[in-house]
Order: sequence, then C-alpha cells, then structure tokens
Amino acid sequence: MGDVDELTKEFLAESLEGLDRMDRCLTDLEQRPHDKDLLGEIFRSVHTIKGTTGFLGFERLERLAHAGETLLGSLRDGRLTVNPELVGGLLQLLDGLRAILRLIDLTGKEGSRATDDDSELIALMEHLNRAGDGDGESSAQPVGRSLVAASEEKPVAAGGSAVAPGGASEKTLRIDVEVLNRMMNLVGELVLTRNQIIQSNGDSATFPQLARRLDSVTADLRETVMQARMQPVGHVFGKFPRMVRDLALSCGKSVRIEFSGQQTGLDKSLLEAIKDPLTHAVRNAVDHGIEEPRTRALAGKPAEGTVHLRAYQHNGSVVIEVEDDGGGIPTARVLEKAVERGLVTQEQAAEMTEREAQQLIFQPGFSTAAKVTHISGRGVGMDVVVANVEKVGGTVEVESHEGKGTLLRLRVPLTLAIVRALVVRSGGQSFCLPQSSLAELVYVPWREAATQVEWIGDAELFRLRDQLLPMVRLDRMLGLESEGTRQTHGFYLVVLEIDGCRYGLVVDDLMAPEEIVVKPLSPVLREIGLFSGATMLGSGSLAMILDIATVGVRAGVRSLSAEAVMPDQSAKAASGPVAATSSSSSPFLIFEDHWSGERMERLALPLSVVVRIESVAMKDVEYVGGRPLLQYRGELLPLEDRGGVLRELAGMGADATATVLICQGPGGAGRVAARRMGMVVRRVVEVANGDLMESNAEICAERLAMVNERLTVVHEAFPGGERLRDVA
Amino acid sequence: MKIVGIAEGEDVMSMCSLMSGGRLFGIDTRTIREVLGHAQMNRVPLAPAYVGGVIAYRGEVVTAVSLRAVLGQEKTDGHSCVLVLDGDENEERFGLIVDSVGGVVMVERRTMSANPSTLDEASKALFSGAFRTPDGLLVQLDPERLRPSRIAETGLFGRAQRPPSKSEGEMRCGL
Repeated sequence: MGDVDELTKEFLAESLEGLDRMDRCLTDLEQRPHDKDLLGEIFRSVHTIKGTTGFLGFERLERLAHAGETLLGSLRDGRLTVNPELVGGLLQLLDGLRAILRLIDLTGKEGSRATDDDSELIALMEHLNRAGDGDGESSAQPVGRSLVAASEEKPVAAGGSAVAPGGASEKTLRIDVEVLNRMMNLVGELVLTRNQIIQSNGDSATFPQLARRLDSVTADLRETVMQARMQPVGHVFGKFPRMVRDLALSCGKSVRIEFSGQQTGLDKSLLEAIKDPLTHAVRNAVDHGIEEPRTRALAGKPAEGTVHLRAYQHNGSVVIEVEDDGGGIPTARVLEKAVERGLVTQEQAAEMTEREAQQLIFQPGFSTAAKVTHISGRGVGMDVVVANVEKVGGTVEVESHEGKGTLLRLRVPLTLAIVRALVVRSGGQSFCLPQSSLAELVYVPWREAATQVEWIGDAELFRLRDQLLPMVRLDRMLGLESEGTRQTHGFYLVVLEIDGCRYGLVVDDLMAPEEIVVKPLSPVLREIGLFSGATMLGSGSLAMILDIATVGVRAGVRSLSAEAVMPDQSAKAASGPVAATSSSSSPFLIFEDHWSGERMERLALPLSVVVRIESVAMKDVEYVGGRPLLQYRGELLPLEDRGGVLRELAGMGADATATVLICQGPGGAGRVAARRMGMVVRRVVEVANGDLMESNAEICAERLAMVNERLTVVHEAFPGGERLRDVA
Repeated sequence: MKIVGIAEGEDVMSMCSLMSGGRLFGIDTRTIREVLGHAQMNRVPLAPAYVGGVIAYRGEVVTAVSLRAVLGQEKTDGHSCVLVLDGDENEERFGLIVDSVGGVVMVERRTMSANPSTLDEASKALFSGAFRTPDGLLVQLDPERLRPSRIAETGLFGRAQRPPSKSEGEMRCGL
C-alpha cells in the first residue's frame, strides 16, 4: 500500500469496519425486517462512505455508493419492503464496495480497467429500487432469479476474501480514549515516582514506600496496556453471520448461527492468528457438518441447523468452541479412508476407539482428496487449522457424536507476551525454560551420578525410575565452559517433554520460576536456532529463552542414533554374512523370551520406542474379549504377550508380577504414533548398541540386529530401521 | 547523554568520534540514538563472533556489534562503551561496542575522500570514506553497513577472527 496517504488509510480502515458492521446489520435485518434503527444505521454507513469518497475523489466508489444509498433511502422511507432478494442485492453491493476499497488499499487507485465495471451492480440497485415503485411482480421475478444465480457464485468469493489477510486491520488498533487516558495518568504517576526516587537520594527511610508505589504503578500500567491490546472475540465473530448465510444458501441448507461470550477478550495478535482457522471451522460446520433439510427431517431434527460459537476464559487460556448439530463425523468411513490412504494399518484401525479415529481428521493426508472430505464430513485442511493454532501455542480438540453433531474446541493462551518460565544456570549464564514443557526436576548428587548415569557410546543416559532418559548437557551444547562445580555438588536434571520426545537437560543450578516477558531477537541471533527469544530477569540482566524442541533435535534426541556412533562395531558387523544396513549403530533394549520355540532367545527393541519398564501385578491386568489390557496412567494399553508369560503367571496368584515394556506405538507418524502399548517380556537383560541387519529371508524371516557381536531378533513391529536409515 | 547535531549546514556535518583498538573513527551523529556508556553486556552462546552480546534498551533486546571484532582487533576486557544506533524506519535498532567515545567533531563535506582501492574487502565493507581534518584522517563508519544483518550478508566476518589489518596505518586526531 505504498502510495496511500494517511487520510486515505484512515478512510479505508473506517469504511471496511463500517461495511463489516453493515454485513451484520443486514443479516439481522432479514430476521427483523421492521427494525427502523437497523435500517438507519445501514443508511448512515453507506452515506458516510459516499460523502468521504466524493471528498477524496474516488468517483467509481462514489457512483456505486450513491446507487446503494438511493435504494436504502427508498427502503428507509418505507417504499420498499425487506425481502431476501433485496438483502442479497445489498450484500452484493457491500462486496462491490469492499472490492474497490481493497483495490485502493493495494494500488492507491480505484481501478479503471474494463473489468472494474460496476454498471451491472448499479443497474441491479436501480432495478430493485424500481420494484418498489409499483411496476410489480412481473419485473421482480427475473431479478430474483438472477440474484440466486449470483449468490451461488458469491460464497466462494466471499469466503476467499475472508481468508485473505485484511491489510491495514492487522497493524492498526482502535483504543477507547478512556483507556488511553488511564495509561497517560499512569505514565504521569510513573514519572512522579521516578522524581521522588531521584530526590530521595537513596534515603533508606522512604525507599520501601517508594518501591511499593513503583510496584503498584507498573502493575497497573501493565494491566492497562494488556487491556488495550485485548479485543473482544466478537470482532472475529462479526463476519460469520454473512458467511454462514451465503454458504447455507449455496448448498441449499438452512443454517442459523448463534454466539455466546462475544465479549471475551483476546490479545490482538492472537485474534488475528485464529481468524483463519476459525473461519475454516465455521465453513466446515456449515458445508459438511449440517445435513440437508430432508436428511435432518428424517433424523427427527429441526430443518434449520444451528452452528453455535462459544468463547470463554478457562485456566489462563481462551477457549473458542464451534459446535454444530449436524451429522457428526462418521467414524467408520474415516477409518476406511485412513486405511485406504495408508495413514494407519488395518489392524491399527480395528483397535482404534471412536475418539482416536476422529483425531485422524487432523492428519495432513486427510485434507487433500475431495472424495474423503465429502464423505468424512470434516477435514478440509484441518491439519492447517491445527498448524495455525499450534503456532501461537494453542491446541485443537474435536468431539463428535455420530448423528448428533460435532464440537471443535480451539484453546489459545490469553496472551503471547508473558509466559511462566523456569530460570536455570549453566556455564555461568542464566537461561529460561518455558514451564509448559517442563515435566519434572531431578537433583543428582555427585555420589549417585556415577550409578544413575549410563553410557552408550558417547551418549549419556539417565536411569530415572527404570526408564532411560537421554541426557543433554546444556553447557556443552552451547559451547560454554562448564563451571566444574559438578565434581562436588552434583547437577540438576530438568526433564523436558515436547512433541512426544523426552530428554533430561543437565544444568548447574535452578533459580526461581518467573513470569517473563518475551522479547524478540534480531534475525542474526534467531538464526542460531536454539533461542526463541530473550527476557529481562528480575535481577536486571538478560536471559535467553531456550527453544526446547530445537535443543532436543540438535542433541539428536529424536534421531536417537546420531550421538551413539560406534564405528568399530559396525565394521565388525559388516564382515558377517548379513551386511549391516547402515554405518551408524543405535541403542537397543535387550531382553530374553521364547517367542518362536521352546528355546530362550535374545530379543531386542530399539531403545527409542521403549518409554518405561514397569513391574505389573497380575491383578492389574484385565481382559476384554480375551485380549489383555492394562490401565496405565489414565491410558488403556493393549498388552502383547508372545512368550505366553501372562498365561504362566496366571496360575501363580494375583500378586505375581510381570515385566512390561511400555512402548511407543508401531508405525505411522505424528498423532497416531503417540498410541502406546505394553509388551510383556520374561527378563530384561541390558541396553546395548547394535546395528540393524539387512533383512534376508534365506537366513531368517525376522529382522536381525548385531548387538555386542551376538545376533538378536528385533521385534518386527519396531524395526527402528526407518529412522536409522534417515540418519545414515 | 544524548548528542545533538550542532549548526549543521550543507557543507558541514557533525560526526561523533570514537576509539577502537587505538584507532579513531567517526560516525554521523544523526544516526546515533543514544550513547549508553558502560552497559551490562550479556553474551549470547553460539552467536557469530561479531556479536558482542545483547543489551536491554527501552524494553527491547538490542543486538550489539563489537567494533573490535569486525575490525579484527584483539578482544579486550577493559572499559567499553555502547552506542545505540537507529536506522531507517523499518530496520532493527542495534548497538555498537567501542572502547570509548570522544565527542562531536564538525567536518566539511568537501574534505571527504573515498576508500582507497588498496583497502581490504572487509574494511571497504565497513568504511564509507575518510575526512581530511587538520589533525589527520577521520575514518567514517557507515552505520548501515554495521547493521548485524548486513554484516551477516557480506559473509566477510564469520566466526573466525581475522588478523588485524595493516593497510590502514595508524591515525590520530586531536579533539
């Protein structure tokens, strides 16, 4: 918008806002045709636009606005009555005006090409106006038809423009003068307090009092500024009635939209961020959620469908729900399609609960094929919705009951700027760790470090309640000199969990948790990648905020084998009859059991899939349809028992215990992989590095690995080979 | 201490003189937002060598470029002084760490000479020329070229420290 001057910019922002308001008024007008106030407001908006355009010299805009004003004038004078065609025509007028405003915003001019011709629209306005002059039914009929045709194309355009970024609106903010006055007062007070502090000359008697005052003034100021940034969610909701109306019309449905909690405040930047996902969700609800009137009638529902938008605050975050009373997500079809598209295997699909199956709609692969979306009811780019919401630290959930409707819940933090963080020290510097990904804190005294830290190659692992946790030394990663105090004082292990990967960050010391204000870094420092921002600490110094996910990736936590390369071993393995698939080796958990026969075999699982090793009492194992299940931390895990351990133990009483490896689910990626299972084994032997072998059916049908120079069978569901080969 | 330009005209401009590693430089006073004096510097691990650290300035986290590092001079633990430079409207604000700041010098535009062609590439990328003052040469630093993102773009000042360049020669300037 380079060559647009200040005055025009202001006019654009004001006019677009006015048009949005009119959208709402017009849809309201359809419900309440005799509301004089509503009509008055619409008339005033168009009149204002017309007046200002004449003044700024936008002739095309003026002509169009004038045609609209004349029509609205007749309407206000009672010469015309409100009917759907008229409202449709007026909505088209708004679209026309909006298109010109956008053009001005982009080019500074209102456009004079042949395609920028409004005569059709103006003719329509005149036509509608004449209809009121009494030339009757005969002429109103064709107009009605042409309008339906027009509005059938319209929703696409309307939807498109709704998704396009709103230009000026993202950068400007309207603030109540009251709020601004309050801010000014507070700044005045701040200056006053500063003067008093300077004049006190460090007098200790008045100092506590001044500090208290400073504290309260800053708190108030912060509160006020935050408030000014807060915008009612209603601003985003505002455009939905129009969108829903157009969309419903085009798919021959009757849909009503309801709102609650429009006053819920949300930070301006966050509001902009959720605008598109929310639009998407509402569009999906109307397009795919709500059924055709006839289907609804058969299901015993009112012909008119309802989409309910709800916003409320909950636990420091804002929840926005989009609920429809449509057909819900047909789980069976979703699963069918997921298997067809190779997102899950047949077996996985069979084991999935309804809820798990519904989560599949968030899978990226699910959005592309039109066929899938048509049947599944949801899923036009749901992965995009999730991505957008997660970008600002939010989450998306879906709840659906077949035949009853669907509820989509977006949860976003109240504000982006302030987060709770734990301040840690490493190599003499302070760093902040966002508390959201903090799982637990462990102090490791020097005496115990020797017994609890295990080594595999160069990789350090910490034995935390029988679970092996990869350790990442922060000072080493950042190239800082370690303080050397660990020798005598031990160290702290911060257990972090992000995106399903878990690791322990070794730091020298822990400081207090603080509420920190996140400040952006310059591009040069952002490029380092390990820091997501910086903050000023209470002590006055600056501290970097660590990007937990990147730190994990850099340390190779996810691509587990990167650190544990043992070249001498792989060389030996390669000389064997079966060649190793990769030059890098990875840690395996070795256990013994007899799977294929009576003989005890050495078996292995890639360490990356083993989450924990648990001792489970037989009384905790439950059976459903002959399949053993284990309730584990609020999760229901299927148990796999190839060695028949459970059968043997069943006779030994309720207190006999079995060793269960809690494993990350096999196959798949992303959300589906998060599904866990338990594997019952006879005896866990050790953790050791090994190389995966090329599968060779002549020697053995199973996947083999060379671990400590002994052949070991790798459970076929978890070859771990995919990841290994990625690294190699 | 805010330095304000004094009686500038068409042919006279005011420069703020500063020292780094015993050499004298000048920078247009209009581009200086504030001279902070000795500020608390926070090192950033893994940052490129030319980044001296970050400082808190007016609620912002400002990246500071170490002039010694870009000139390839030895690091010092001695006294340092931080200037906050303001660029164009849309550009980031950044800091410049120097040994000390002298004062405001008025120089005549016509005494300006361009960089000599024999100057090494790295210095050419930083200097916009030199003013012939009665007491010697005053090398003008171009704040636009000192911007962290610009330095990163040139690729001349990577992590490796360069040996100090000799081509410049010693320059003095009486203030």
